[in-house]
Amino acid sequence: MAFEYVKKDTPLDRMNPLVKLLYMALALLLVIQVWNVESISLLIIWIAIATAWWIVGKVELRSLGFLLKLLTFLFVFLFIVQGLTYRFGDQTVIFKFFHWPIIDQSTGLEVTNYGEMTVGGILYGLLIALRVVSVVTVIPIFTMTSSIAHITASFAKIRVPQKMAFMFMTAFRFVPLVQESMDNIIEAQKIRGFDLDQAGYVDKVRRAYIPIITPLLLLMFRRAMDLEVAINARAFGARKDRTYIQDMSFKARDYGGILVVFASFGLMMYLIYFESTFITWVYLTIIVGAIAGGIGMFASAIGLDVALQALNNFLLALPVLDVIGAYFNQYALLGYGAIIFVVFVLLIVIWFIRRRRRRRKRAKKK
Amino acid sequence: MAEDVTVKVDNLTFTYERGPLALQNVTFEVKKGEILGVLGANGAGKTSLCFHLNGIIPTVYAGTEKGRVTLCGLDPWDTPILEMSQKACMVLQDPETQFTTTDVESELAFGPANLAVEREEIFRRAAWAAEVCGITGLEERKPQELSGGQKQRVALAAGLTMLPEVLILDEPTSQLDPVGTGEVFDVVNHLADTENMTILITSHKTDEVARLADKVLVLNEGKVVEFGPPREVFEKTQLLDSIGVNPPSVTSLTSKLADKIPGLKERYEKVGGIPLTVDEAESFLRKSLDEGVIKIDWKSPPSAPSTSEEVVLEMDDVTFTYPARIPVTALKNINLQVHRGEYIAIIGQNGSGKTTLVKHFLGLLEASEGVVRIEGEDASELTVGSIAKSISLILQNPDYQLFSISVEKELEFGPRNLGLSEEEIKQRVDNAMDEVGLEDVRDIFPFRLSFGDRRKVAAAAGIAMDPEILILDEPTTAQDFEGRHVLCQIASRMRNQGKTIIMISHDMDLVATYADRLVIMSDARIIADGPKREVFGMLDVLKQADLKPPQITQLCQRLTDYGIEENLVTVDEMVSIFKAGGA
Repeated sequence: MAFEYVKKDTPLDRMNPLVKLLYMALALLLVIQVWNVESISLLIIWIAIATAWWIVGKVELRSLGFLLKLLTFLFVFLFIVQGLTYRFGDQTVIFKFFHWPIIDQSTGLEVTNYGEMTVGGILYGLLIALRVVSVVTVIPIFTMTSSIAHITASFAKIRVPQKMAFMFMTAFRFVPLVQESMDNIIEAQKIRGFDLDQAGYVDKVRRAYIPIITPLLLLMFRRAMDLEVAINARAFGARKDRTYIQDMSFKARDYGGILVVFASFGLMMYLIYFESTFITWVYLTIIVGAIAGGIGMFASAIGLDVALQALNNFLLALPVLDVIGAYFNQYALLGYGAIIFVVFVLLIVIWFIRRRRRRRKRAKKK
Repeated sequence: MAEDVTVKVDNLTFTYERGPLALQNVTFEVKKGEILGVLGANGAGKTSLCFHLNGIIPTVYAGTEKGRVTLCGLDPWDTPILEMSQKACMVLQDPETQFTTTDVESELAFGPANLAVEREEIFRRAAWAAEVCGITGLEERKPQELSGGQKQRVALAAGLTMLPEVLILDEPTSQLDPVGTGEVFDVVNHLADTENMTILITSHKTDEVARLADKVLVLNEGKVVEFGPPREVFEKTQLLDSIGVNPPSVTSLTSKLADKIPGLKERYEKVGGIPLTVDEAESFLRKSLDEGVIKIDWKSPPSAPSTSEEVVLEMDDVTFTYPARIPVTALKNINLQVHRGEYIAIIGQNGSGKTTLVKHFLGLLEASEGVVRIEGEDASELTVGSIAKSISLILQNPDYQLFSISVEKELEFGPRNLGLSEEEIKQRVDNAMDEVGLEDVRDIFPFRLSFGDRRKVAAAAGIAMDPEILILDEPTTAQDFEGRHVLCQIASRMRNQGKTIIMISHDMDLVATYADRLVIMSDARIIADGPKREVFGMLDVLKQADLKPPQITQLCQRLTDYGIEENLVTVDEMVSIFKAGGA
């Protein structure tokens, strides 16, 4: 659903899919050349350009939201792991989850502690996340503004074998069908007493999928057999020089698109290799610093910081919390470590409550 | 003349590579511009025959052939499918899997594009084909946005763009509702009349074939049983019944009357042959009644068995809307009460809300407004699993549920989910297999069975749950004459044991034979609900739902001035009211 083509009357619609394919390829090429934390600023610019394309193509922003939601798990994982282990950047410790010191064998001194989350680590995690986003935001420009038929024709133009291009089209053709079949199968098994909704998470994954996946695969096999008959009856594969009804010529707007794509990529390359002063990163830090400073000033102006400090001290005074709260580095968090910890705990508690409150149905009496 | 013969099949015997002998010594001819109807029970060889004509055999399915097939002068075994596909176009029964591309325009262009036809020409052909099939304007649509009838017409148009001389239609309407069926047959009629195409059509809808075909070929177990003009073939009603092909109801009626009343046979032979349509039957009976050859001795048909007052399923002003980008209201203000022991049929076109309604009774859907009660309890509070103990739904497509390694294990799945003891499970499985007649395939992997048998396995799985209420969703899809009745007879037997049956169907003959009460749905509402004989009389309501009563009932309604007081629904009921006139 997030990747389906919907026809809208935009310049991107009419643009040759090969241009968009080029864009995707360059996006990939870009992200593999980005290594340091300062490049976060570059990627932000790249993503902004891609967003501009989205707006021109009238791609629904909802799809972007959907994509990012899918990737959140990955991102959170990245932040945590990199925060704990990446030691090449800013070593300022934000907070400490647990104690895992790494001792240098020769000197016997603690080199670093993997229980501590550092600013540099989190920023590195952010970099990796942005690399993913940079590519991911370019993909819907390709899939959502070109019809599958058009895309298949463009594959043929770049000499992809006929049968492979067709495989691509067939896959897309059957995705909604697979989705529908899956829903139907789950329903069919539900009414035989096999209720997936009521099973716990672990149970679900473990035993649940055979009665669901097996009929799905068998159904798809059957459909594939029928499809074979259908396409043979229409002489598929009979000739190598088959016609494509889509107009694959390059028009002015296609050249314009190519220009924009190369220009964006060129800008990125320049900034990476030829601009040695990390100008963009400097600008970014200035902007972020200004915003943070502004918020800080506002907070102190209304006395918010005093209130928070008082709350923090109060929490730390509680018998259990002072030990744990101390784990959160008071300095990096402006001394609000205890509050952060309490918020964490609250979030976990709320998550549990929501799980239990999911409408529990009862069994029928007779 | 030999040049006139478009299709010539000479002593064809064919065995599939994997064993089954599909066709034996089949011989027939079709002349240019003729329409040939091919009839036969499932497995008789109709599809194999179709595959022979356009080259699918031997290109996709291998096997050994004896005899010869010639289509437009070409032999499919010697000619590459590239050429064969330009002579013969095929439409299969499943609207879904024939749609190979992602939108209608590409679909229409697919065939000629594969043949490297030039672009402008492709557009011309596509426009012509779309017009002939009545699908102009749908070019941008995706397959999931089309109805079954529309998809089949797209398949037809997509074949026509290859400019074939022969059209092969293998059960094109068996998965469609009456509206879709009508649409497809209209196009076929048009093609036959105006384009002078040679058409070969396989079907179980014998009344349509009777009207349309110039010649009829009847197959049974791979052999030709009959070949000739429809009137000659359909007259042999007893033979046809014995091999699982049922002639049009009015033809069976006339044949049985002729057995009962001497002299009747000569009369219809004199006027050109046995009646095949309701109109022909009406005029024949009128004449015979007027001339006193037969008389009507009215006997009231058996009344429906009485049912208990206990309400087992209830819908109280239920409205249901599917949540989606564009919400669709599938049920509007439904009020329905089902009593224990009833046999109800819910009829209506695809999309009228029949399946949606029934899913509420299983707990799969929750009403947006109103209350659904199952044996007195509010369905929205119950788990689907617990409802499954009392109610079984047998789905249209058995492939949505079959996954086990053997039929036996498949039947065990449901009862096991209910947490029954091993003994109890075994007993239920044996019972269900017995009831449905699957004992010989007990250990076979369900995937390898034919569609009809898989259907039976799914039905047995439902029965093994030992439900109080059994719901059958479209038991007639893709079934031949016998197959339809098997499921309904099982349901009847269960009803006699006190269970309640709900059947969803648009097969009026089936519904007329088995159900007592009819509920007609149209556009998310119930527009009629009552005993079947009454409902069949509500002609304007039926029209609103695009339905027609069974042939026999239509006949009754036209002959009311001769003393027919109530709507009769089966051939036997009608035969019993006539007797010799003594003139």
